[in-house]
Amino acid sequence: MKRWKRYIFLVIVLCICANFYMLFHEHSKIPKSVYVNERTKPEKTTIKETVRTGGFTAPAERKFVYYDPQLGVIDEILVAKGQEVQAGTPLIRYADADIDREIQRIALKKEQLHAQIEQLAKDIDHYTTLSSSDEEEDSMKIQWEEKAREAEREKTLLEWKIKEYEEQQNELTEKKDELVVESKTAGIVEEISYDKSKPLITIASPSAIVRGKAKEGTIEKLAIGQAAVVRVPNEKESFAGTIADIGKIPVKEASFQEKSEYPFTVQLNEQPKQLPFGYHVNITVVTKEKSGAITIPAEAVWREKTKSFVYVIHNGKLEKRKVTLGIAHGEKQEIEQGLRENEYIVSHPAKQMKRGMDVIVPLDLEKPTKETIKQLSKWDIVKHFLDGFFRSFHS
Amino acid sequence: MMYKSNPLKEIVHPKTAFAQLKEAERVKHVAIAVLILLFASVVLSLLRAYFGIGTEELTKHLGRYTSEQFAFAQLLFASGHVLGGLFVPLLFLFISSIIYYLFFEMDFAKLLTIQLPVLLIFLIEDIVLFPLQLFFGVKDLFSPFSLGVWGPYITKHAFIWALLRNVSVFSVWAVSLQIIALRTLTEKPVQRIAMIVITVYLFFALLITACTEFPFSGS
Repeated sequence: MKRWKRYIFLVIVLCICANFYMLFHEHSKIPKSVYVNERTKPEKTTIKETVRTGGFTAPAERKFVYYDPQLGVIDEILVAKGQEVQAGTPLIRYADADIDREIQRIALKKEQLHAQIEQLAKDIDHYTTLSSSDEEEDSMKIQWEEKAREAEREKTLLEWKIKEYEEQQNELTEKKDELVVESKTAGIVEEISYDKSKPLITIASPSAIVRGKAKEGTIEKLAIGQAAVVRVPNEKESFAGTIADIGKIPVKEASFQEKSEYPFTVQLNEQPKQLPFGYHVNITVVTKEKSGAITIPAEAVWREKTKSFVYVIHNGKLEKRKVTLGIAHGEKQEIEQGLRENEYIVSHPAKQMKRGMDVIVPLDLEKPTKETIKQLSKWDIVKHFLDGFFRSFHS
Repeated sequence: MMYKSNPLKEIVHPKTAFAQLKEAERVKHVAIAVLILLFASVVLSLLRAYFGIGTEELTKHLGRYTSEQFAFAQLLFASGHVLGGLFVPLLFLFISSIIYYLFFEMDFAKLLTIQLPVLLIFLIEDIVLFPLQLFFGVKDLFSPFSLGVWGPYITKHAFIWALLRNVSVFSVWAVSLQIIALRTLTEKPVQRIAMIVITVYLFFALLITACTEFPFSGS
């Protein structure tokens, strides 16, 4: 008896195993269902293709002041790094020894002349007193007066000489003033360099642009005039701008291993006041924009090697449809070809999904409105109810 | 002597249990056992309806209905399914008890008690199938515990698949349990009992197949 039971048991187990094999082997003939947890319909929206990259703020313009040997030796640099300058702010003073010496000489001469004039003035006073005190002797009086006049003449001569010297002095001072170089523009002193191959003073203009870089494969998507949004990391504020320039020479020297990165410039529509130069920002460039594009969640695309598919729920069955992908943006993917707007697709495709499978979907708990109830025919209502009722029969 | 209905015990030790049932003058706890089994059946139906198991026909309307209409149709299906989960076992219990009553003229309560473990077996089948349905997309019609799997390999007729589906490990188990029970209780020849039980089961099988496969396929 026991042995008989054991055989039966073995046969049953073998049968079940065979059944499982027939059910699940690769080319099984058994139609299967698939539980589709989430379904979605394609949306008709505007989709943008963007390129995201990093960059930093930089001055829009730089003015360079070079060392001019013709003007002599640098006496003093009158600005410091980081100092704000206006047009006309003195920057550098050159030194000329000859002029300085001349000025000194003239000053000395002037002093000498002044001393002489003073002496003469005293003399004149003296002669005038003498002449007025000697009333009796006419000859003597005339002699003193003669002397006073002579001294007066001499004094005038000297005064003229002083004027001449003053003029010379002015001339020299003017010449000296020419040795001071002034800034032609407003800005910030970015760098002062004593290296002869570099400009002596670099003045950055106060307005900012953004410099970004993009890798090969991305840079060709960019074009001058495309809109860009510049965002400061961790801050809400953003600045709009356009691409003003795209570099043709990589940022770093090209190498065989690494992908080259190319610079580009974003002109800002509005100047960010708070941002210092060299501040790192995120740049988003809109490279393409399409309105009325059929988009689906990117997750709903099933990829096999180079081909892309979506699982469409068509007439209650799964249809694996090849699609042509368009623009991808964030979580969204444009479908250029292969999908219509009104079709349900599987939101999360899975490995076990195969074409032709019957689809079952979870209950959508929603209270029906009166209108909805009216929309369904009585037969439909009865049919769905009975369908549910009879599905409870299990062998 | 009194017998306490316990479908689990009847499944595990059918011979001793039914021998006790035969000797018993009164049967107790039948109503409770029926209620528990019905409750389990309703819960299972609810679960199945929630996950949409068995809604293959309904999903065909997905493209035709608006989402609100479809949700309403789903709700109709679910309410039908839950009601079915309640009434179908109840109908099975009473109809089969009545049929056996006509054949054997036994105490009706005892006959009802015999049907309870059978119901439990079918419930176990549903419970075992549930994860296969949900996670592996196995349809009830092609339960790996039945001959239903062989259907598509033998013929193209869906009706025959549905008939084959009725031959399962669980149905064999249920039928043999019934044969054991009726044999123990009536002491009639085993061939005759087997014939009756199998015929009754086939009758049910045909009825169910007709109900589930005919009105909705292709609609």
